[in-house]
Amino acid sequence: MTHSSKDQTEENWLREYYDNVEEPIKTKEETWSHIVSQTGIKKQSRPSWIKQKGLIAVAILALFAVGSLFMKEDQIQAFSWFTKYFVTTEGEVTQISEIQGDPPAVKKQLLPTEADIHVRNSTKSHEVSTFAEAQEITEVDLSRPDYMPEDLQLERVTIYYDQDKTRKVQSLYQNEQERQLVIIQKPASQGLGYSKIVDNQDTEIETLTIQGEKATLLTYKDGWLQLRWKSELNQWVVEGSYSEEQIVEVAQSIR
Amino acid sequence: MFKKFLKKAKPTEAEFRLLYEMFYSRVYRDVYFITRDSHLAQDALQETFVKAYNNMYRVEDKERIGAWLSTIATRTAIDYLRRRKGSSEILTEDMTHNDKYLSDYQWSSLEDMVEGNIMKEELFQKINQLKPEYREAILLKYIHELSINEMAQYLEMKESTVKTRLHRARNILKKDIEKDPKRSWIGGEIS
Repeated sequence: MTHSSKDQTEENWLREYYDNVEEPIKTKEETWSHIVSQTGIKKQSRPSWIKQKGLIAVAILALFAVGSLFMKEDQIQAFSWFTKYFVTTEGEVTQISEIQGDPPAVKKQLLPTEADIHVRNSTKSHEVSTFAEAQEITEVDLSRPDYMPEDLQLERVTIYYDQDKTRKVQSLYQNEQERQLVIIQKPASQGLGYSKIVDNQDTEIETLTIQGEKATLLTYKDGWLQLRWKSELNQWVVEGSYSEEQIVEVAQSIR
Repeated sequence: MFKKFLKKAKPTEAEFRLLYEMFYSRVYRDVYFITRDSHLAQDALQETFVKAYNNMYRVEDKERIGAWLSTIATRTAIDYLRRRKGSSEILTEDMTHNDKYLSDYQWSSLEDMVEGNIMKEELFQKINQLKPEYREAILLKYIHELSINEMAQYLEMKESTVKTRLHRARNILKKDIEKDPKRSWIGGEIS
């Protein structure tokens, strides 16, 4: 074993030691409640419409529509310097972004200019037909759903690389009528930030909780649903022309 | 006075909740790394976030809030260790806990496996035996990759003290293992 690989191994052991923890005594929510009680953070009561599922999308869209009128740029900055997720609306489009660290400066113009477009060079991919095969060739610890709508079968798993690192793993499920459902797993080591611009008139946006994490469900006019969320180690996308309940159940079952 | 009030403004619940969501796992690992005890870690976890809430206005470099939180976490965890009577027991406990993941590692040969397990076990044992302050230095330097300057700044101590702790921690970890020329680790310059 070379000196550098030895150092790497030992650094990995140190990381392993760091990551290996017993379960906390209290749940995350119990801990939060304790912190709230100790700090006196004022609870912000949720508006009642949040409980009315059917009105969520309408309310959020309405909020987007008027939000930019009330939200000053400095408020966005002050709030978002450690924010993972934020939404900005201008005119007929909404930008949904998740960031790590400092956010980009708020742009007046949401649509990208030529200078904002970056071309990714030489992206390689590798396609296999089973998770076992995929796991053999990627360094990412792959997760898969326990639940899948009955008629869907795994068609293929595609591993995309940036240089030698796995950028994302895309699993395609398909039935005999070629109806599809896609799951994308993107490792955190490749960066978790993303930004997406959607047309408010054609897209409903809903905020959900998946495996304890905040998630965004986009419902397009053509019936295609896209659910995004972020876990500690990965960014996830589940999408397809299935019902919200089915998409959510698939997402919740990923282990 | 108004300026001072503004400067010390505390985050809203939504803002602080986001911070909590982002760093909960990291802070728990940090305090557990120091205490190796889930009860102490739980107490230190809670107090770390309480302290963070009350002192958020002090954060100057927003991009390093994780580093800032980790130093609060390690300081708080060390305080909890000190409060516990017979804290020296903590420093040598828990090796059986580590055994369970030794077998998870993939090895190319039996020889590698045996040597690797011994070395890893030695390393874990040595980390467990480190003084909390040395463990803190190892954590901040090698896991979170803070610079000496940052460690000194956030821990409110001299850079020379930080360097001394790192040197001593590394020397303890390297002792015995270093006798075998193949088995040197955590080398390099302290910068």
